[in-house]
Amino acid sequence: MKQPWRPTAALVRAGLGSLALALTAVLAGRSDLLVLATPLLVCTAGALQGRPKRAPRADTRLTHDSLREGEGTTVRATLTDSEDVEHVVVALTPHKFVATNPPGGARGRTLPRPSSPARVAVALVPLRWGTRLVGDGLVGATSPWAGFRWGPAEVYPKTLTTLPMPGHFDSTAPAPHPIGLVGTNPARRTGDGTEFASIRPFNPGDRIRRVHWRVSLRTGTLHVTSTLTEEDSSILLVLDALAEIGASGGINGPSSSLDVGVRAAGAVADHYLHRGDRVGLRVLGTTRHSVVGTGAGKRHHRRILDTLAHVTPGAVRSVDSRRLQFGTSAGTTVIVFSPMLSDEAVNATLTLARRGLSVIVVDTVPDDVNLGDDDLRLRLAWRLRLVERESLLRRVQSAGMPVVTWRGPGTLDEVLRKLGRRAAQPRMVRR
Amino acid sequence: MSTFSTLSRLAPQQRLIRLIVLVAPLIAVSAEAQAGATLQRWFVVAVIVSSSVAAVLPDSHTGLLVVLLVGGHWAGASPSGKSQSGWVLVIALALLLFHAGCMLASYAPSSVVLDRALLLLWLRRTTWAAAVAAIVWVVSRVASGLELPSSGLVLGAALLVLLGWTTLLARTMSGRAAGRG
Repeated sequence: MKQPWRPTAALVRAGLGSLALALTAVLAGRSDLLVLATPLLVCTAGALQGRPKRAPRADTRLTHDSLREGEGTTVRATLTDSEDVEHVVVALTPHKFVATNPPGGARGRTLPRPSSPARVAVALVPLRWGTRLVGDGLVGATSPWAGFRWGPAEVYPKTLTTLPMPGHFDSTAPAPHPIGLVGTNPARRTGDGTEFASIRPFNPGDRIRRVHWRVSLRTGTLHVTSTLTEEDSSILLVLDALAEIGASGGINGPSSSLDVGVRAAGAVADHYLHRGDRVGLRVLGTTRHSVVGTGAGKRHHRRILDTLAHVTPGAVRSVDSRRLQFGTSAGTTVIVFSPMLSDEAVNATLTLARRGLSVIVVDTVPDDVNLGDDDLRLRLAWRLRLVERESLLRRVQSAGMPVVTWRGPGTLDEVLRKLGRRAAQPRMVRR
Repeated sequence: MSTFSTLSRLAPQQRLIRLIVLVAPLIAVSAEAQAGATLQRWFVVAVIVSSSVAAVLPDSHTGLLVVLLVGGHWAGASPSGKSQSGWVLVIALALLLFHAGCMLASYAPSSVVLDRALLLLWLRRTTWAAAVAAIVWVVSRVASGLELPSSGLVLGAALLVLLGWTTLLARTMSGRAAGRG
């Protein structure tokens, strides 16, 4: 990082230009050439007077290392040993899905007085979820009168984790199999709760305020109102990252299938964890950070978002559904976010259904897929893929799994209610 | 190719600065013509080409070529007896403007908008340099009016005095309260 100060082209120009003119003036006895030399002579004297003695050192720092999509932070370039510096410039390397202010990512700052350390900040906004390296670029400094220049010195990137900005999601439907301890979902067994279950004869231990007086008077024996107990439920989110369909335009542009999937998974996790349910995550087709066990709470929420931010599409192209370990317990509701374009994704979903779990498939193919190119062959190939997808979706639906398109709030309401009703009915499960 | 694509994305401020770099040598050449110097076609073309290159590449040494071309041509082609005319000062100021323009354009990448503090600083410095040039011109006019001998020895002594003075001036300006002035 230690780089020497070098004379600028301006100093060479002023120095040699004024020297040539002054020497000619003296040798030829021409005072008019001395007039021409004078302004450049002043500039040379100023530049030499401000000759720097110590080379500065540059470093950059990110104000935040973790953000949501669309949130802003700053890259602060710091120059230490900068007493001889008059002007600092930082130019960041442009990165995809990272907007900077100023737009070119380069900013200069004149130091009002000799100071150390000198700082220049460039604002940046990550436009898409993910983990990326930012803040790399070049830093340069100029001495007084632009006589000497230091750098440009390279500054190294820092890791910025961009968490997905959850799409709006809300659901009024209860989870179909609440089997936990304390929660908000009406369970199948009776107990303390608010959801009405039945009116039954009084048993010792029943509370007096539960007595249903009208039925008791009519029947002549004490009857009480029983309620369903309220329990938390277990939700497993399965994200298909085997392939990404469509070109992503960031938070303000068109969405790819993985954008929809990641943001939807984040939104659903957000919703259920706020309700006190337990949520787990399994990402198909990513090399690391692919499993988050079932859990609850704010820290767990953050863990899920971090895992979603580390998703790398297509890192693993084939998944053996027989070897997949989902770590689910009985009663878990599984929500699969997938474009359903591969046999691997369909087989993994069918495997989950065969274990007797309630599985909902959320179709993440955006309405208007941005293929990124107006190539006729590409469009034809995409239409063929859609035909193939139809047959894959039929396989999923014929196995009794509802497929819904992600549309934000209320997406899962109807299917969750249907699953709740189905849960109360007897069924046969193939194991 | 990349240079031209960079030029097309210049900030308005940078465009103005580079226009100054382009025009200032032409002002110097016009002043030479006004002072009565004979302009050869090659000289004008050379100045236009070199100042255009300097406007595109302000951090190159082409600027030195412009200074030497204009200064050298004036030294060789200035009409006798008119070398102390006011046009000398115009040429000196045009060269100063050109130098300051090249310097400002090379401070940072072309997309960077230079801050107000830097522009004011250079306005002040350019004014100081112009004032010193004006004083030197007045002194040389007075000496010429008094018909003092214009020998190299006297000019050498004058140059030493000027060097000492500019150094002192630069030191004073560096040590100003604002720190940069």
